[in-house]
Amino acid sequence: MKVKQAFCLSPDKLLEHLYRQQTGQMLAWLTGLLRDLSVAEEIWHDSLALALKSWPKDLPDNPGGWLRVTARHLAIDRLRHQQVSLAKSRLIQALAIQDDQSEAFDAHPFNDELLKLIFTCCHPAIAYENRLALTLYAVCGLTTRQIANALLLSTSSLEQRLTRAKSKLKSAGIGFVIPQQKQLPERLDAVLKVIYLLFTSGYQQEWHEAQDEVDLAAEALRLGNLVLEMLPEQTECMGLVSLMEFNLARRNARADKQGNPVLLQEQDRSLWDRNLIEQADARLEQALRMKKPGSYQLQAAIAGVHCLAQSAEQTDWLQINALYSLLMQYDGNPVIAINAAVALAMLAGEEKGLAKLNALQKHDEIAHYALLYSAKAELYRRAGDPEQARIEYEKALARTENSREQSFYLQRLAGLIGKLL
Amino acid sequence: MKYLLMIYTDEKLDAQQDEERLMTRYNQLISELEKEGVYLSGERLSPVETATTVQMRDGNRLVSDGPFAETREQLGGFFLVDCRDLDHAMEVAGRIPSAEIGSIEIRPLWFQEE
Repeated sequence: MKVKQAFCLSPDKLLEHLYRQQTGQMLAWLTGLLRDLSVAEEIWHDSLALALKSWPKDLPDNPGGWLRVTARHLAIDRLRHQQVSLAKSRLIQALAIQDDQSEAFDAHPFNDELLKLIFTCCHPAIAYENRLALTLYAVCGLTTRQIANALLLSTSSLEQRLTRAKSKLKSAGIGFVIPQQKQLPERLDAVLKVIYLLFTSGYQQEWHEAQDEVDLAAEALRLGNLVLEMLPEQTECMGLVSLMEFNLARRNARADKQGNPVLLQEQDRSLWDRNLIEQADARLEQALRMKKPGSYQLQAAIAGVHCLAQSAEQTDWLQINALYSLLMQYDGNPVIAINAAVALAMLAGEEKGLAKLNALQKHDEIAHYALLYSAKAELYRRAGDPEQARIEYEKALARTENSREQSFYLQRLAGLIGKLL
Repeated sequence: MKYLLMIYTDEKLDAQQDEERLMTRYNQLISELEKEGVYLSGERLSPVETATTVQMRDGNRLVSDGPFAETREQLGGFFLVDCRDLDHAMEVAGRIPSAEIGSIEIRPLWFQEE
């Protein structure tokens, strides 16, 4: 806690800041004690309410520490009121002995507990969309309004999701534990999926800092780094963090001044964040040296080849194609299959790419992706067939509800009309 | 925590299984679960064609031949187990031989002892 900075803020601004900074760790610690996320949440909110009442009169020297000590006292009270078993009374004793000013309590708090909280919130037995909401709420310390805005939901439906997720945690007996070695790969995979989904939904959105919106992409990176800090040997986690960094490095170049998306080939590479690219590259190197490849590492490797090319023309398409064929062995996701076909076109010509895309179109689960048709359109355009390109862009347009994608397709269509006339 | 593990399979697929081998595997699982202190009880059910459904409506009893819901997979048996948490129950469910061709639905019992 930066105390000096804290003094410049009004008590309610300060609390907002501390809420964001400490919610994850406090809920993790309290859930570890009380074995119930909802009760932990109640106590954390009670502590904040007490602070809001007393701080305007008397601001403590260490506001963060004050909150933690208060929460601890409330937790002890709560444990005393519950049916007292022997284990519980021991716990209460241990808690009560802890010195309020204890340095250990302040220093590097509860990382194990935080990891447990992340695994709990991302448990595969909780519905996918509810996992996202719960993680943002309990681990990232975002308010329901912020999360609702970021996930494009109404506050009431977000609250429903949170309620459902919390009730599933409790009634299904989802343990507050770090999964055993045997289950770790499956459970970690579920955590990484949540992080990556947060990242992609944040990355696709326009983000307005001024309007107190939350940058989900940055939040996802923060979570990824957190998990990696605690599980440093997990190569797929390294791969995911590296993938997110490579993508974030290109963030400033991926839209023009009007906010329209710019294709990778046409981006101004001087806008890319070179430092972040180097960091991502070093991280990926480190992961690949450990020789446990996986989907995220390969996706990061592909992003890395793009990022390290001096210009679009100098992109190493041979290497990208090799990486895609490896990646397809790990991950049959339609978006990857479509991108692989586009990469093939860059290496072997538009015709080869189009043949691949036409073959993909025969699969029902791929045929409804707008990306498939925009990829075909782009290849037809490059092959000098604007009429066919127009038809495909219109198909893409009919298959998306995302307003950014729609305006992008409209912009490409407008560009084609000149050639058709 | 106590969980009911409900075993759903497609009876047509079930009929193609090697019955003797299947029973050996089930018996083996039960003795493992007993050793681990997890097993409370378990039963196999007669085929769905033996099912009868009863409903009481305004004091009248409605009886119909067959299961309550017509689905591709039918309830064919269950285990009642005592597990540490859901992860543990999921691990046990994954060891049930019929999980390889059917589905296991895991439901915690309503009342749980502390």
